[in-house]
Amino acid sequence: MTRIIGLAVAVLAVVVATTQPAPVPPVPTVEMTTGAEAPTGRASHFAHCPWSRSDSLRSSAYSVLGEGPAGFVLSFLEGGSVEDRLSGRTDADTAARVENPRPVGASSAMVEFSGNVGSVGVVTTGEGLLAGDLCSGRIPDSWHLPGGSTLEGESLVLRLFNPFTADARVDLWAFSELGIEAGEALEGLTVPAQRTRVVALEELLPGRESLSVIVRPVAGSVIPAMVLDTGTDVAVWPGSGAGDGWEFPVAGAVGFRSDLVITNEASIPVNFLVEAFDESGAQLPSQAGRIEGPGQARVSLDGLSSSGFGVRVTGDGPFGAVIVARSEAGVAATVGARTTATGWLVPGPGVVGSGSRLRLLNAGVTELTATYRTLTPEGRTRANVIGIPPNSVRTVHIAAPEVAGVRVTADGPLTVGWLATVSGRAMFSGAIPSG
Amino acid sequence: MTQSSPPSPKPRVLALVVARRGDDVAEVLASIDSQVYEVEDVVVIAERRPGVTPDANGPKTARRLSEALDAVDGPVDYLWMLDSRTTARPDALVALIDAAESLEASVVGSKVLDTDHPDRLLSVGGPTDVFGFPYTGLETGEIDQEQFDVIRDVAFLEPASLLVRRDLAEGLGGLDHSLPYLSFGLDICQRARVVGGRVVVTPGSEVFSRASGAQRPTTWREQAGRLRIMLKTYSLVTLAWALPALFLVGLATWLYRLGKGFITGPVDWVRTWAWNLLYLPSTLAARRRAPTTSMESDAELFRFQVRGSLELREIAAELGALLGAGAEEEEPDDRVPPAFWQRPDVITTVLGVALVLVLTRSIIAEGLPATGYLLPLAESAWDTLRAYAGGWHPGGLGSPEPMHPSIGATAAIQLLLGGRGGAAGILTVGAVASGVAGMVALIRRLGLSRGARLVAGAVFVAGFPVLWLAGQGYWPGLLALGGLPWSLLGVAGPNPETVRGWTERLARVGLATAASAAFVPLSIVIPILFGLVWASVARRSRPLVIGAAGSVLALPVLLPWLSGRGIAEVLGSGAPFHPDPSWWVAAPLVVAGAAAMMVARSRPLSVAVTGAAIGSVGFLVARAGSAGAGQETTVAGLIATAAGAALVVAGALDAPASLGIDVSLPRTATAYGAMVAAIVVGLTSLIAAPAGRMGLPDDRFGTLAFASSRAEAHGPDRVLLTGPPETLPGQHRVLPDGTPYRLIGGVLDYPQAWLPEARLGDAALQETLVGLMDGEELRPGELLARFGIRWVAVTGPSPIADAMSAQLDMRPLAGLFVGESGGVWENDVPAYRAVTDGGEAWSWTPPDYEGRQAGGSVRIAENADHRWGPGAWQQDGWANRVPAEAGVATFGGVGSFRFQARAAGVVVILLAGLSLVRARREAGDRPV
Repeated sequence: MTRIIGLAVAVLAVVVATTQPAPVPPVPTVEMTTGAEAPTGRASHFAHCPWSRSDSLRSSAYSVLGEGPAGFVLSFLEGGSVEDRLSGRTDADTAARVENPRPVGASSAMVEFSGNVGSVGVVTTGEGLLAGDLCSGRIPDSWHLPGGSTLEGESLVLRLFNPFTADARVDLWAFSELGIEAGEALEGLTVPAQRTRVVALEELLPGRESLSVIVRPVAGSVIPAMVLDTGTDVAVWPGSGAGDGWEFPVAGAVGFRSDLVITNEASIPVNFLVEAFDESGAQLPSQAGRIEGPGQARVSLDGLSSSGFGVRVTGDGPFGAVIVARSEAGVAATVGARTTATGWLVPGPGVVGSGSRLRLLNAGVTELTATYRTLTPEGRTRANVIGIPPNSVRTVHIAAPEVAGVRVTADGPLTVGWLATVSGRAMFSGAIPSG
Repeated sequence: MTQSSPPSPKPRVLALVVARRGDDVAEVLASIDSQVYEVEDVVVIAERRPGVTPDANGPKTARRLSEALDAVDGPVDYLWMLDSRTTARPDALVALIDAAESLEASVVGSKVLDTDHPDRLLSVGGPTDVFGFPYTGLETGEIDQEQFDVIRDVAFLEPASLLVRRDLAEGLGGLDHSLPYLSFGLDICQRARVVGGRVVVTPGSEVFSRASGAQRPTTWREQAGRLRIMLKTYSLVTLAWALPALFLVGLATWLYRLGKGFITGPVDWVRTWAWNLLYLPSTLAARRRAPTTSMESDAELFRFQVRGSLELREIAAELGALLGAGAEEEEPDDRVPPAFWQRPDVITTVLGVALVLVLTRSIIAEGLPATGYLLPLAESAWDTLRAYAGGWHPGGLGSPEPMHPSIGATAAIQLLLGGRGGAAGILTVGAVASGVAGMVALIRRLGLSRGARLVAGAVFVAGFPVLWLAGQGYWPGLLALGGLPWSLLGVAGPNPETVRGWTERLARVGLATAASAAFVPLSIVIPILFGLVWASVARRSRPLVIGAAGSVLALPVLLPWLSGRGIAEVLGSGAPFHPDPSWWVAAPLVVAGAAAMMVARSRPLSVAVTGAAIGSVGFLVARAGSAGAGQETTVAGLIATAAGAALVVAGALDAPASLGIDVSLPRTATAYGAMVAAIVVGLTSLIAAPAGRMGLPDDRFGTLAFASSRAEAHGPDRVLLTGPPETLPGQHRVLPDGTPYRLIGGVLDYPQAWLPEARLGDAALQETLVGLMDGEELRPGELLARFGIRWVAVTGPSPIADAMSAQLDMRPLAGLFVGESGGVWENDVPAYRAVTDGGEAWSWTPPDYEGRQAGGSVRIAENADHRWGPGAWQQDGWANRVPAEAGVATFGGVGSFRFQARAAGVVVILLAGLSLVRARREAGDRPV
């Protein structure tokens, strides 16, 4: 009996024990940002500006505005340390402008906000260039920089800005009309802490008509910007993360041929649809396409509209997108908005002496009423209300040179950007959603 | 016709009474008077006149032998030396004379009987070892049944009654009065041998003396006397090896005695050598006066000496008896007893010691690695005990919660042993050795063979449950091995017959259970489980009673930890273990257990059934993490599995022997199958042998020493560690996304292994880390500085490491890694655990903070608790703020926890006292 009972107990216990599953690790109770989903690019406590240029013939201006009262510190990092530091404040009715903070050469800077989130834009004007765009806020897992080219006479430079305390190492995935570009020079690039590394793509990959780059950090983080110099003008645009849809309020200007360049870093293809909107609200032809992954696609927007227009591109997977516009003398580029919002911070309009145009895109099916308020460093504000019919864009001229930023609010979701043209040269810039 | 030779003249004898201080010599004088053989004269040799009635007819007195001889009229042939406490039978002297004359012996000794019990033997002479330690061959109280009544050559005689040839006595240079009783006799015998004299004992001569106790040869005076005799009589060649050997033997002996609780051992050892140093001139003078000291004379001595050290033999015998625990008697054997190294107990001991040495040799040679829960002991054991007794829990951001019992236990042992690394190493090796010895003793108690005992011991400490536990770095699990088998031994023992016996038994079981439960608290139920199963198997109710009583007695050792956490939390808290043994480890054990249970008989069957029941239930508990069992529960399950596996293996090994001869072939084959499977299980326990570290992983946290080397003057601040759970020391917390992390004080030590329940500061830290991982924060250093975090160390892939790649105020320390990947970041922002209003940092001197006295207050970055002081306490967010004027900030303590901790200590001391009293009494009764 002893042996039977003992055997039974032992067998039962061992069988039950072996069927016990391993303890389940703690289940996440908070949804975290994952690599597959990049930040939305909202206003943040910091902004990174990988490019500005100043010398005797060119000047740069940093436009800073916050969602509310905020202090900011503008730090220029070179050679592994903070070379210069400027600070200031903005409140709900002001926007700050810092002009030519560095006397000579190209600079990389970062802006830290305290008290509130904010946004920063950089505009460089002068002989032979009109360029600028937003500074990058949040940092995605990989950066998409489509839209470059390295044709004869053109210079394409990728600036990799590492403002952080740790060295970074990145791989570059390059796509051109030849397909995926490979080369040791594109792999394992080290960007030392608090320095900027300049990658001359026209030397590494010369003669490419369409060259897109995806920056993939292996260690650490960088903030990239692409600088395209056609000899007569310069276009600069920041890197962006990937998204399933983008809106470009500023997709074209009169006299410019625009291309939408999109990139796919995934191995599965992305099907996309491009819709265009102009001020008439008429149904413009849409274009569908497919990007075999990983790779790029260039969609010509030429002939869509005789006036300024905006586009919306949506896909069935994440992708990066940039609008590049060219004319005989000018070149401009900008990243789109990944999200619509009812409030926008628009740093920079007014910097260009000849004036700027604020463009608002309502890709929805209901008319919107938007209020835009110009902000100056001195606190002189001026508000105007504008109606935006469905499926159309509206353009507003900002002529006052003292305007450092614009705050836009609307009764429905829209996207906002701005552009400026001077002597055939142009620049496109985006805006930052707020609220 | 044969012509008879003329009768030889009757030998003339002088009686010498060697008086000891304070002794009355009247009785010995009377017994001399009563001798049938008349002595020429009687002289009392004494420093002072002995206590006899002074009259003209009283005995002559002398200070030395030469004076005594001068005092005698005419020559004498023999000296009859009598100790002042001796009385002699009337025919004692004549028997001595007869032996001396017939054998031409130079020294003849009498059989010594107990004055109080005349039928009991005290001495019949005997051999010694090379160090002069006497071997009487008698058991305590051995009755004189004439079993030794044969005239023998001996190396040593007690000086109760010695007949010495006068010419020899004079030639040897007199008597050595500096020697104590036993050495006095040995001195005469040795010196007689050296000059070629014969030393014999004649049982026909009976004298009576008072018993002086079995421990007499081990007194320091006797040890010193024997050393002096060696110096006087051995050749230089012999001394060259014998003296160092004696030194080592003495060292080993006092260490052993110290371990038994005789604290005078070291002092005696020092006194022995110091006394001889003091008397070295007289020793050398005596050596010069000696007729000869040569290799030949040594060889003559060695003829009557046993090899090796009798003291070491005694120790080996005691250890052997300890392992055997007196459960079974060796079969009576009329043959010559085997040499001590051939004794089974000694062999078992040697093999057990060898096993322990093999399994722990790296720990002995290199110390313990820092891994898992195996962290260096705190610098101050006393301060740790202060914190343990109701003080501040230093884990994480601190808490008034009581600490794990193993922290108090290790600190107490550290306090006794001194040192940090040494104490931890001794503790580990000691626990393993005690585990092996205990399991051997338990299996012996259960009546199985020696082979089964040893293999079971190996399986217990190095079988898959323990190795798995060690592989996780769960050090307390190893320490718990030391006490458990002794507890089970007490449960399985025969029922005591007296109240005192019950008291002692329960105290021992309680103490052993406490020794296990202090490290693995829920192992406290294993004796109950064992008692329940054994009671069922053996059909006796007492094992369950003893097991339950032992567990109840051990319960206080879990205070105040148990009362602070509560039973439910203890059962379910902590990340559970989930052992998953390989098939090649589990299959042989299952086969061994199943086969043994199916076919074995008698004791092997009982043991196998008990082991299978305990082991399988333990295994079930160990894998019950998904059913809600916590860390402590699963660890206790693993310990029970280890004990069960050992019992199963022991039962399986003896299964064939239990069958007898009239058994079917299949049954016999199955039994042998069980045995083979058990052997395979035993062999798998040698897996840990090559590394010699009991399966503990490599050192993982040595690299965290950077915190000390990079610390500022006030000492190291906190380190935030993150990485895979197995790379973090002790317990860890988990962020909502599952990211493990934990805080450590700059100097990582054992009291920080367990984390208390999260409090206000821990919640704030978690929120900060979540924000940091969101990528929202460019200046994490500023935020972490509030928690006193100066470093972020990443031990492997972690989202926090990713966040650290994009920030501005924590500098990476290039080239410094604390894990296989990741890195270390140092805060650029001053990050102090305690800082005054003026920004001056205070030092963390566990469990207090100290710094320069100042006005204002000091912010203590520990979880807020109103008992911080001195002075008015203020809550500063999640932290504390106290006045800085005292220059010290202390945690006032929790009175109830302090009381409970002290009560636990008192209970342990009480249990130990009851157990040791018994042990010492037994040691005193042990035969010499």
